[in-house]
Amino acid sequence: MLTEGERGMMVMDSAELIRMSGESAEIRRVTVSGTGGFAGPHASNEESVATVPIEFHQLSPEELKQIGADGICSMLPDTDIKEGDMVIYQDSRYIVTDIKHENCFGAVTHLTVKLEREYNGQS
Amino acid sequence: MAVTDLIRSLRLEYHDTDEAAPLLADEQLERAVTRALASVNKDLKRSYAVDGDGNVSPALEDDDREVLLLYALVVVCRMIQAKTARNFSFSSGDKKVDKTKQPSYWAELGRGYLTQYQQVVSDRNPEYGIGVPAITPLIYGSDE
Repeated sequence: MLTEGERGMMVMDSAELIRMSGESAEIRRVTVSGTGGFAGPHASNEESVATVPIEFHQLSPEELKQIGADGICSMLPDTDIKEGDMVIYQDSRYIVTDIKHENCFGAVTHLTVKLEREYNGQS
Repeated sequence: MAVTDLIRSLRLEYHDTDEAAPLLADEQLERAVTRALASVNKDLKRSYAVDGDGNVSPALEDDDREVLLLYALVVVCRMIQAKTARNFSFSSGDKKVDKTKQPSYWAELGRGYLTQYQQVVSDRNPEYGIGVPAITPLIYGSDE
């Protein structure tokens, strides 16, 4: 059985692997306004949530097709990210389509995030 | 010489200079120095001790300092070997980490330092300097 310290070690080791890539990405989120108003809630603006460490996986087009994504990356387990958020990575915009919490013996070691590329503001 | 100076030299020797995440705490290195002092006293017929101010007295001779650090490194390797003995490998998603070989690497490093220490001590201590006499096998029935 693993101790709490050993679970923590797994999280730290995974985080180190992600940070070692030396890359970061900006997470942007659409803000909703007008809740309770006559016209109802509507997306009004996009705001920057945070710039976070990221490990972007360089996959071949065939591999991406199999996964069903335009990009896939790893993020730290405590990253504030939701489906529908935008990820700005190397001047490209991606929309988050799926977030998987990678669990190992009860510890979430990192997030695997599926991304869909957005071209000229359209996906 | 202050024990803190010896601890600083030790950290340089085994590459433990990241103050944010040290491999060993100062108390552990103090323990390693104390054990090394006992070994040097026994093997080189000295009488070093740590005084109330945390200094080694009488003042360490340069050569003795190096021998002391050599034995302290042996102790350090054993400490880190013990610390890493429960290391395990795991894989989670696309990540795989395996640190299970670290204890044996530290043990190997420690054996190397111990061999060096024994060599230096046997060179400097006349009692040990004689070395182990070579064994000549006596074969019955041979002509010689």
